[in-house]
Amino acid sequence: MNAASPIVIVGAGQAAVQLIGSLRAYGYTGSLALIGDEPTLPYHRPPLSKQYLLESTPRVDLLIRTQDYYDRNGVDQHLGRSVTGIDRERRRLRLSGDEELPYATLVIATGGRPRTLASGATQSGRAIQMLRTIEDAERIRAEAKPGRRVVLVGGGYVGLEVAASLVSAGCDVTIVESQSRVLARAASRCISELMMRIHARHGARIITGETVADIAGADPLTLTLTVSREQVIADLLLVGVGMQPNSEIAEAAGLQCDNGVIVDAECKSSDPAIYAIGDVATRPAAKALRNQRIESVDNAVQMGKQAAASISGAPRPPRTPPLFWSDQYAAKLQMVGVPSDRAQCITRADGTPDKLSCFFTEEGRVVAAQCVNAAGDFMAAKRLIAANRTIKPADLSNPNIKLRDL
Amino acid sequence: MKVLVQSRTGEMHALQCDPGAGLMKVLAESDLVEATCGGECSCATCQVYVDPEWLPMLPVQSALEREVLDELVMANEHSRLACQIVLTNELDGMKLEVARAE
Repeated sequence: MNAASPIVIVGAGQAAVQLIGSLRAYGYTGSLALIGDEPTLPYHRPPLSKQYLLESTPRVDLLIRTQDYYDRNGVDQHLGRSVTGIDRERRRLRLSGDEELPYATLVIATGGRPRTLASGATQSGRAIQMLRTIEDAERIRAEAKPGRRVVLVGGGYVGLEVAASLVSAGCDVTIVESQSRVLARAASRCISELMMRIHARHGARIITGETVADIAGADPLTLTLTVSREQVIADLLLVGVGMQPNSEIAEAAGLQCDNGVIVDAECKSSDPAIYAIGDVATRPAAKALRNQRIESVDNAVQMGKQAAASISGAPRPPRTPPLFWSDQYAAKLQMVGVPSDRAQCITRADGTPDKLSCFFTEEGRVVAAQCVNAAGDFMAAKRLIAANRTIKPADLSNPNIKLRDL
Repeated sequence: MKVLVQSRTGEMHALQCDPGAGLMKVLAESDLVEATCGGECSCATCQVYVDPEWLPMLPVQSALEREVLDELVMANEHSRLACQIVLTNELDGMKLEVARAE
């Protein structure tokens, strides 16, 4: 069965690229349009907080696919264009400049944007930066000179990666995290503590349980912390306090939304002609009823494949636990699955410095894992989760027992 | 130069490429691998089986690549991660097969 043409994709990121490739692989030969609000073709965002922040490399090296790919695959590109609305009745997408694009199927892949600080720090001056786009990264790179005092609000993945890069660039880095530990949402306590030790050893100052209450001055800024009232001087203030989904066009069109566009297992929204994939989409987790919006490249790739299969009438590809990666200094953090609150955490360490794995089990089965500098454990964890067998905690924690034998 | 690639579904592709290009990017450009992690030796979606004749001409494996391949069920002695291979003139005509993702 072939899908009805045309297919229009709003949002030009990782999910959109996977969708295009998978639709063509399933044999869809009809018209495909890609609309992106940034002027560039879809690019890899993960390097923006890492090597791209340190070295001036050509933008073209960041592209997920080359210009030739989109031309070869017959993708009409509308870059640097914003979407003003969806007319669901007439199945038309409205673009800036009063242009309309008809669709048979619309795919919302608009991702998200950085949250701003709740306090008076929402104004975006030269000294206050978010990190999401290639332009953001280039601005921070230009400002991040050796000796500059950089304060990073938010100790999540992106914040910590930026901190590691800027310490490497010679900046004097302070991380302000509102929770009692960094990576509080993303990782278990033992992983957070290891990462905090690694950052402290490289010279970053980490302040937990605090946020910025007030920002004064211009160059430099004087930040006042909420609890201690300590004043911290910042030549550059970077805010990395999470992301919010770009779901406004979906909400305005009356699609069901709750911190993202609500979709089903096929990535279909409450309107069967409209799908949502990637960071903007939310749906029940495999074993939970609560909706879960997952911010990861792997999730974007999986959803791109699932939506393409659904649109093409092909069998649904398997849904696997989401993967997350982060590189900070020489530490390679790899995670699989999202453990529930009732999961038991079993640690595995073989004495190698800065190497640690946490396996999470529910009813004796591995459901998630978080590994630092333990790529082998991570690959094994993916396999153990898929196997869904009962495993003895003592075997998981014993470094002398090979995981491949379990 | 070109590389000869058998896809997961068994089709043969002769991919034109330039010396200095990364093998993973060349495969991704034809949608033959997901390359989810973008080449950080993390996801193993770019695993390939390299023809034994060409295998010795590749750069040696890093400890990280070996560690990842060691835990893959589908890996064998011809396995490499494409993200760790930069194409050079002497690899012109190299034959390889894309492994199933795991």
